[in-house]
Amino acid sequence: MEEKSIIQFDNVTFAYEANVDQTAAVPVVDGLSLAIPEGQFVAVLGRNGCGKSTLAKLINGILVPSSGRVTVDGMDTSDDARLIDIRRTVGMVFQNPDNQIVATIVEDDVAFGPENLGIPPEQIRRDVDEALKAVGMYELRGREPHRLSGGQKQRVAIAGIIAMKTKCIVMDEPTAMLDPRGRQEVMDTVRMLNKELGITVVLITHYMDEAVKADRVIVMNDGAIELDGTPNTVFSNVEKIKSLGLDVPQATELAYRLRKTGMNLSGDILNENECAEAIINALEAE
Amino acid sequence: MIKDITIGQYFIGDSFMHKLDARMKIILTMVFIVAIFLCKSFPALGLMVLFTIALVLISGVPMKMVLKSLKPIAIIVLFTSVLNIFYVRGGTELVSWRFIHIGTNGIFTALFMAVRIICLVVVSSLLTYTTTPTMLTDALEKLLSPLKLVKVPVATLAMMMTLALRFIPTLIDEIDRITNAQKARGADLDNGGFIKRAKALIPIIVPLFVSSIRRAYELADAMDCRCYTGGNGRTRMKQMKLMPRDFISAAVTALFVAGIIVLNHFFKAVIVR
Ligand SMILES: Nc1ncnc2c1ncn2[C@@H]1O[C@H](COP(=O)(O)OP(=O)(O)OP(=O)(O)O)[C@@H](O)[C@H]1O
Ligand SMILES: [Mg+2]
Repeated sequence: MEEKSIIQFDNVTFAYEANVDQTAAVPVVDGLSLAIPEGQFVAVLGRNGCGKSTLAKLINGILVPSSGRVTVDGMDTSDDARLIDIRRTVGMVFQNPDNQIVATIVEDDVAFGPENLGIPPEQIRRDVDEALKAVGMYELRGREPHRLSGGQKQRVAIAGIIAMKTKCIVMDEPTAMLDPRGRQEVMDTVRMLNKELGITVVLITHYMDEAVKADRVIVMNDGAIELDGTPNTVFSNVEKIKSLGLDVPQATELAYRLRKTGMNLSGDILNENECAEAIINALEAE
Repeated sequence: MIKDITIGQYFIGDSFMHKLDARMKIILTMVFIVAIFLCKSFPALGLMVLFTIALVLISGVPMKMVLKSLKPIAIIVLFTSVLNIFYVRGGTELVSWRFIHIGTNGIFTALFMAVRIICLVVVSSLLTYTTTPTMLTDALEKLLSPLKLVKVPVATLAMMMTLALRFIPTLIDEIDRITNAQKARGADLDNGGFIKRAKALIPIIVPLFVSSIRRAYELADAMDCRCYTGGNGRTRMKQMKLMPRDFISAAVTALFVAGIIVLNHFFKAVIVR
């Protein structure tokens, strides 16, 4: 596959400043290399404190590697002169929507990024309306953010990035504070971004059912990549994933247990339908 | 609960006054305040009262809400009136008993002062009733932009004000949550004397500060990610444009001021200041 990679990590190491309690700074990201091609939908998994958020912040230069190199569309994140261009290429959505909305009116918040870029007013108006329609928040454009639900707020935050026309969006647990319905809204939006607008998506998550929908799943452990591949191949390593303190999707778990009892099921089952079909086939074969 | 909070005292509406450019409203309000203190004769005062009433009617803000904005100043109005009645001498003597002397001048001055203060408060609250805090901030930013020449960071100050407005509901929500959490841990916030109650606030204020600082860091990261580099080179989506109605309002206000000056000229001034 000869695709251009939009995000590239070359042997990246990063350590936070030494702690107050004088323990030496341990690298949080340790010799990590990674290439993400344009248009891919990548899910990043890993247990608490394994360095996922740090990885995200390394991508658009909020943090700079202690050693190694991160490039975005060919631009080095340690080059301050390119920082604005890098952030025009990679947008970021954080976990808590309350801490990333800056304006008192929905549409003004979406306009914040383009305004910072000095885009002419008429153009901003068009981009903002388009972005709000894309996330399904156009009708609520005049609302005050504190009158929105969590899922709606997070969609506003996403619209704020879409309006900047970034090629790539990094999301750090965007659904962590949402109820199932809000999660569904946000996940539908994310999928639409990737499939219809062709935006590269890096989604950090603790939800396996979200990861299953990605093109590629990366499992991190202690600042390094432990598993990397399509959801099917990654989740077929049930024991390995469990040893890393993570769960597999429920259907995968069921298939795994049935297989242990001697049933003839394939290892790459991800959802209920696949699982049901495989069980039926296995039963018929017996 | 938090969803009902409106920041400021904006009254949602669609009147002529709501539609006026916020910059023009601020300037005209200031002109009006100056005009208030030009009134020196009864006809001028009458004109001002009529104009104020007309403004209230145009704004579509219910009389009840306007009167509510007068409540906090009722005491002040009463107090200055009484003082004026007793202290301003001159005119025809009405009461003269021992050391108490009340003359027409005193009564007129009291009346003028009361009417002036009331008009001032009514008109300035009309400004906040018909303009959202966001529009006010934007307008102030524009009006103060000449100060950029003397290196005042007007855009940054306006951004700070917007963020403050934006975070008021969030922080109120947070205080609510912390209060409940501390109550659940057995904190007694409602009983005891002043000192005890003040001390009981510490377990609320400290977590509030900690979480606010964390929020500030996250917000800073989010703003960085959206290419915020301070006010320079920023454009604004919503451009403020003066419409015919803004010029009409300016002309009417100018006529009003001229009217007051003319009336002052032809009729006897009843107060000195
Ligand atoms: N600002 C900081 N200063 C010092 N150490 C930090 C800082 N932020 C994170 N760490 C440490 O770095 C490690 C990785 O943190 P990171 O936030 O990247 O983990 P994560 O994978 O995102 O975890 P989670 O799933 O909880 O979000 C943790 O051990 C954490 O304690
Ligand atoms: Mg994290």
